[in-house]
Amino acid sequence: MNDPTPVFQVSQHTLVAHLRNPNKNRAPEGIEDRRLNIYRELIYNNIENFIASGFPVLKDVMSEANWHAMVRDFIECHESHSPYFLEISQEFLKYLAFSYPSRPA
Amino acid sequence: MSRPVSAEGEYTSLAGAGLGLRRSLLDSLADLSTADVNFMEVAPENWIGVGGRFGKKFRSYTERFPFTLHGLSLSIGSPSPLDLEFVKAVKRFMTEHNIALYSEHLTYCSDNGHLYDLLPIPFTEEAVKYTAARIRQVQDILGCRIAMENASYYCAPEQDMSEIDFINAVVSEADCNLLLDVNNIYVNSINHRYDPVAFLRALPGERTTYIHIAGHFDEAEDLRVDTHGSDVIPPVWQLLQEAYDCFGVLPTLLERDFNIPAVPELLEEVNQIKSIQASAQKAASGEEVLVRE
Repeated sequence: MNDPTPVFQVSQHTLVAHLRNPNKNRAPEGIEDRRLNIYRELIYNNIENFIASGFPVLKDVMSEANWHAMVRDFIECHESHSPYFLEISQEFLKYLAFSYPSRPA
Repeated sequence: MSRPVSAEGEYTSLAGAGLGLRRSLLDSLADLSTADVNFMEVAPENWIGVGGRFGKKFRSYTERFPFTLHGLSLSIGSPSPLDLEFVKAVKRFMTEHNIALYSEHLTYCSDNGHLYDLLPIPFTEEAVKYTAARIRQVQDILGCRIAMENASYYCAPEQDMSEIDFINAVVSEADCNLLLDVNNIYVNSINHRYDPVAFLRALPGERTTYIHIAGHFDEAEDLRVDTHGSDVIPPVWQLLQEAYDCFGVLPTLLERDFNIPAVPELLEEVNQIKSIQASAQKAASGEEVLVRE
């Protein structure tokens, strides 16, 4: 039988799920929202920035709403295994090839 | 294969004042020598596997300057298993560029996948044991101690113990070194309302390999964000001075990642590190004379 997940890891999964998609996953309890917001923004802006600079044409041809919905879906659903920042674009290509769109329109 | 030894034979030990090297600085810093910047630092994640023109330029730096690595993606506190292939890649990179020191953040940046940003590990006993065991595993693979940095954080979910107790417990249990970030102490002391000097003094000075200093962003009166995007502010310089008074003069590196100013302005801050080091050295040797007399 497997050991139950340690309490601190349950808390980590809650936080990360929320940061991946704040609209879908509840924030950890008892934490000021403006503090969580720093993490929400850092993560989203950083990843969006890497994808936008890797795929400028794609960003250009998509509506802003669709673009952001796609980036959000990537952050929520794709498991990026590369530790290298320059490979975020490759992770995004994998997402496009295998997971997009991961939810019905 | 044995490690290549540099002509100067001193590349493995850091001293003086350093500067973080970024891709955008490769051309503008090309004419500097170790008289200007005593050592440099890069994130291995940005350079492993980089060849061609950039790889060559980077090589010209590691041949001329002592280097340290400051990683971002190890995710030491992650609920997912360590990426051992990545740790081995770091080891090869260290050998390839004759870099003896690898530092990382006492944070995590992934669950089942990377988020590419640093999150606070819950400060609990269980997390101490878990994280320390993973640090030991990395040290076993690399064959050397690594230095863990006191990281900046904006909230502390699932907190059972204080930040200082958490850091000290991890460092002692992992038998690792500390990378002391004075800007992070300052930022956290505001964000989490504690006395930065008392915090600094409670850190293990004898395990501190080097110091980081940087600028930050004022999100609110009581909330600061560790951006590395502006000049170092006076209270943080003061904390550096305090660190030297407390632990002796340690190698210190300026981190500047955004809004990077022209080289002369950047070097002004590097020189400020040097002058604080010189006056701390002088004060310390003065005390010694007094003691001897």
